[in-house]
This record gives sequence, structure tokens and C-alpha cells, in this order.
Amino acid sequence: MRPTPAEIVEGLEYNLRADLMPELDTPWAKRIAGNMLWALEHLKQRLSEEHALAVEENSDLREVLQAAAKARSGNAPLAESLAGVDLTLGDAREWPAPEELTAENARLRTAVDAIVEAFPAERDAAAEDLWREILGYIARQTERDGALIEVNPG
Amino acid sequence: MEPDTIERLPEILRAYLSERLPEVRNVTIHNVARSPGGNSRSMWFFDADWEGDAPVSKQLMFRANESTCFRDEEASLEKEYRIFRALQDTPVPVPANYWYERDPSWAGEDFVIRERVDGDTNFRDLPAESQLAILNHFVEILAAQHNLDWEALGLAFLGAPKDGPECARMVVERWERATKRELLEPQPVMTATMAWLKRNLPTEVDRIVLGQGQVGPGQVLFKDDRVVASLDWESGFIGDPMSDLAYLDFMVRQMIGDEAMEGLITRYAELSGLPIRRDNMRFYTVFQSYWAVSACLAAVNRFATGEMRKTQTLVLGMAAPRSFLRRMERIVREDAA
Repeated sequence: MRPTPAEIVEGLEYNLRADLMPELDTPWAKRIAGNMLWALEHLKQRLSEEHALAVEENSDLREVLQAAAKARSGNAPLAESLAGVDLTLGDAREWPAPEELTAENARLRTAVDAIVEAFPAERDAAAEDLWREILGYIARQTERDGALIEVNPG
Repeated sequence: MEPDTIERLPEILRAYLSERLPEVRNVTIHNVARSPGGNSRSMWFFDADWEGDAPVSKQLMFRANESTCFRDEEASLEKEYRIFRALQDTPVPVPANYWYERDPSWAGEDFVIRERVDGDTNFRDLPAESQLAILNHFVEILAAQHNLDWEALGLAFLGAPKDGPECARMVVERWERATKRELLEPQPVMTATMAWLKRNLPTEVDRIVLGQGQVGPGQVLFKDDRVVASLDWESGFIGDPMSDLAYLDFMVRQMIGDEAMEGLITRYAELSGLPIRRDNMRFYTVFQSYWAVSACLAAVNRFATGEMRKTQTLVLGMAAPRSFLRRMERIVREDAA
């Protein structure tokens, strides 16, 4: 439907910037208006990118869990450390609704977080490879969140 | 605070001061203004006037317990008030804290009335020579603070570690608990950083001291190139002095450069009589990133659960911790390399 949600947010940003902010005369009110602009810009970013980033994030998490399952199966010390971690991938639909993506993300991320928590301090080469894979995921996840949050409302 | 309480604040303050200062008459309140500074607790500046004499400044601050990011378990307003009171007649300059009020019938929550000291907080825009003069004075204060007899000042209630190894272990355990309490979704970077912290706990501590937690520019008021008040004590603790030094280093090294920073560290060592433990400083630099994100998680939690659905809570919770999250991610990755 037109206007899109992002276009409506831009209208709100305009009025806040052009009509309301110049009328504000206390530092606190100006600070809060700046916060509101940040929140609107963040919303706009999420409307346009969150769904695609969530698909990417879940796919990334699945790869980590697959790598963990593979490493666990051929490595006795790792299998012992990660014995209590549920590495089930579950089903992924081709066109998931946002709430399905969120629920799936919570489940997959909980599993990866449990791996990180249980990961042995002493590691052989195979465990080290898996750890590097996990750290790669953490770096990409930090980037993805940053794309939605590090917005500059000007 | 609720909007109607904010609207009634001048009258609340007038009634409160009238009750607390029975020796004066006709209390009036002027210039009530919300402070734009500070990210945690809400503060209002105000001027008071009265007929008669009272041992209280007429330039005051109202600091509400309402916090975007801290919980009482880790950083209560009462704890901060008690530290301020203990520091009153020490070499650490602090504003007078007059009353800590628990009765919710006044403003719906706890609050403190404090002296408002005249000074500036905008350190970043100062000329380099002023920055260095202020930091030199600050290092004198920090060394004096780390030489205080905190037991004699009645500050053991902050929780004293029994030995060096317990200093870091206590703060790590405290903030791991806080993180687990506030997290609404798993954050593997936090879990990986906690694992790093547990693997790198310092054990050598030369003196267990009163630490401030957040120190240096942003936490002090200055005037004429001198520190006139140390402002922020809600993160005060008993523990390793290298924690405060690490925080100062992290906050100012980029601004003043390596040579000046190393000069300050040497001066601190001379004045405090403490050796500089670089491994401890590195540990606390990582810990402080974890701590900052953990405190911001409480803001996310408060916003998402409806406990405090205000944009200042949202922005603090989401935007403020980004640089710390990136640092933590880099540290755990470098550690594995």
C-alpha cells in the first residue's frame, strides 16, 4: 500500500525536524526530540531491512549448528562438553512470516549461545575450527545488528 | 516519573524543603529545569529561597531514583547517597548531599536533594592544555581516593573482597548475574566475553580500595582548570584500583595521546604509591565494555517489557552499547587468533 510505512516515517521526521524542534527551548526537550528522531530512523531501517537480515541471520545460525554437529560427532572431548546442547535445526519455510523468523531465531540462537557457554577452554584443532566459525558468526551478527541500530538521523 | 508529578515538582520541592528546614520561613522555588546530562537517573536543577538561615545551599538538584539502566541490586540511589556522605570531608571533592527520601508520598519514588556545584562538564571541547591541567588534578584526587581508609569511612557495606583474587571475581559474578536477569534474547558475544573474563581474572591486587567505577571526564565538574566536584558514584565499589585507572585510560587516551596518558599513569603511581599492573588494566578495560552493555540491557528490558517505555530508555539501551559490543567482538576474535 502507498504510502509505504517508511514514507510515513519520513513525514513524521520532517514535521519533528521542521515544525517542532525549532520551537523547543530547553536542552532536555531538544535531547528528547533527538532521541525521537533516532527512533524514527531506526524504525525506517527495520522496516526496510529487518526481514532480509533475519533470514540471513537464521541461515548463518543453521550453518554454525551444522558445523557443531559435525565437529561433535567426530571429537570425543567436544562431544562431552556439548552433550547437553540441542543441535536440532528444525524446519525452515521458504517464505516465513516475521513472527516465525523471530521464534526460529530465538531457538537457534539459544543453541549457539549454549555452545559458546559450554565450549571447552582446552581445544584441539577441530574444536578450534568450530570456535573460529562461531566467532565468525558473532562478527557477522554484530554487523547485522549494527546495520539496524547505528543509524544517523542527521 | 509520572507526568503529573513532573508538573507538580516545584510545589513538591517547596513543601519538602519547608518540612526539612523548620528553622526557615516562606520557602520559594525557582528555575526548575530538567538536566540534559547523565544517562541513568533523572535530575532537575532548581533554585530555592527562604527567610532565615539554614546550613543548606540555595542552588540545588533533585535526583530521582528512576533509572533507565541501573537496578538497585547493582547501583542504588541510596548506595550513591551513602558514598557521597562518607566522602564529604575527604580530599575527594563532592557536592553536599542533604537528604535521601524514601517516602513515596512526596514524588512517587525515592529521591535525593543535593547541592548544585557551579562548574562545567564539557571536557572534549577544551583546549589541550586545559584538558591536561584538569586531568593532572583529577589524578591527584584519584590517588587520594585510592588511599582512603574505606572501612573507617563506613563503606564496607559496598561489599569488600577478602583478597586480591576475589576483587575481579566479585564484579564478574555480579554483572554476569545482572546480564542473565536482563537478557531478553541470547547474546553469544556477551557469553563469549564472559568466558574471556573468567579465563583472565587478575589475582594480584596491591591494595583493596574505594573505586568509583566510572571515572574522569563526564563524571566530574571542573572550573578554571581544576576539578571542583566528583559527581557520579552510583557504580562505586571496593576492589582493585586498576579498574578506575583502566576506565580513565579508555576514556582519555585517544583524546590526549599516548605520551600524555603515560605521564598521567606515572604520576598516579607516584602519588598513590601503587605499582601499575597492565594485565589488570587490560582485564578491566574488557570488563567495563561488558559492564556497559550489561547496564544497557536493563534499559532494553525496561522498554520492551513496558516498565519504562520512553525514548531515552530505548536509545540508551540500543544505541549506546554498540561501540562496546564491537570492541568485545574484536577482543574475543583476537584472543582466538
